[in-house]
Amino acid sequence: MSHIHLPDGVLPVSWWLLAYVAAFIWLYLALRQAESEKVRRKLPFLAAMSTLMLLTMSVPLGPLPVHLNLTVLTGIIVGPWLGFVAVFVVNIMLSLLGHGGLTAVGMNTLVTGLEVVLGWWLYHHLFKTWRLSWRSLGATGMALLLTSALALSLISLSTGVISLWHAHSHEELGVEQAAALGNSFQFLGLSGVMALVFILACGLVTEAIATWGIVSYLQKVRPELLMEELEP
Amino acid sequence: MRLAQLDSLAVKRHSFLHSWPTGPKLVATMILLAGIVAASSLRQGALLLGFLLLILFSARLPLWLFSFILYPAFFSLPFALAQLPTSPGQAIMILCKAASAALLLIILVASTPFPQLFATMARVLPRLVIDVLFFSYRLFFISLRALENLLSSLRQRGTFDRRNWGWSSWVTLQALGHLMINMIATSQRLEQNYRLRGYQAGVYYGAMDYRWRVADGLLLALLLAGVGGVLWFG
Repeated sequence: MSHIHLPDGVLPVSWWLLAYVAAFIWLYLALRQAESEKVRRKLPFLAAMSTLMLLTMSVPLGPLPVHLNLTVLTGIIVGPWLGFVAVFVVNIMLSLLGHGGLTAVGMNTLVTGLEVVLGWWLYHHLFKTWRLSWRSLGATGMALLLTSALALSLISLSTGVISLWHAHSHEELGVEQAAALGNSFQFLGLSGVMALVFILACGLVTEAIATWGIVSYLQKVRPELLMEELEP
Repeated sequence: MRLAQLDSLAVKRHSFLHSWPTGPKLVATMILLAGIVAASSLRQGALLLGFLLLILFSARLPLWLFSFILYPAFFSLPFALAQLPTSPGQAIMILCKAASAALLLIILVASTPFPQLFATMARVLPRLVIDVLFFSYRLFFISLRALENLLSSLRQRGTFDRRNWGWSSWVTLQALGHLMINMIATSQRLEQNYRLRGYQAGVYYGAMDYRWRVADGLLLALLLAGVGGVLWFG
């Protein structure tokens, strides 16, 4: 789900308002960290990563309904605080272009921002002893797995999909109708939950490999970008 | 992505929508967005979508803008399909809301230059966020030429050959890395140029003030009444 930008009208009002409040609190904390002149000089990095994310998030990958996010790479390059600012900016820009709703900017930013922070932490702390490119592969894969699971649960709860599924498959609907409900979402011959899991898995693997490939290149050309901590 | 064409539309076209100042236009967008999100029946959704189409055609905006609603419609599909067996009307409403909201924002962007939008947003969003928005916008257009050159040279070297997709993918990722380094260098030069001109922070912080006219207030009140009417009686 981290690769699916929620459009307007999908989330209940209370959920997207709450997500906005949480995102603004996080943004306020991030900006407090970024007040110093040292971080102000990192504005070009921030803008470059935002533009790169804007480009990659706008290009669907062939027949798959996913796109590259490069959120973990952004976290690695600019750090967790400025990385959150970058994803907020990208989500605003994308929502103005109809990709992800304006009311869902809070929720979309929280999910992608969590990817930034988790990816940064895994890269710089948990996998510290690994080679740089493998670190990025592991950090991206694990960060996306965790955030996708969390986002899927949150969104299913907020939209009532889980309760609808549960209630109808046990009580009001018969077995055939419940099966039809589960199989109503089809993609590439797969149905129901399997199709959604397949799409998410494709997004996760593609993102992890892409981050690994880009980091392998950066390691040869500008290794200091991957080592330097840009936070104050 | 057709950001360049959108920007060109916003700057070069002339219509009643283009000449309406950004502040009131942004408030009108929020009123319509609230109406779209609050709509609960198919008739309400259809009326609001019809109103948006009326604005689109009367402002003589091109039909390719509809391509922007495909993404949100597609991403709302899983949610719509989950509702389909129990409530087909609700499923259509989810699609309708996502498409209408996307169309509304595209109409806003196609009739308002991005820097003007950022200048108005600077009143509610923090300075650093607006600066990053502005730099990203500038950098996007500066990097477009670099991206085009990179894609041409990759094509000339047979990078996108389907017979060797493993190698092609590897080279494409390396090219993305190259583009990223190029963008960082360009962004640093851009920031240095701004510093030379005396830039500290808050590019649009001192954006010119707009005095609201009575006509703006009347139009917004009319719109509010219209949207309220649709939600109440629709």
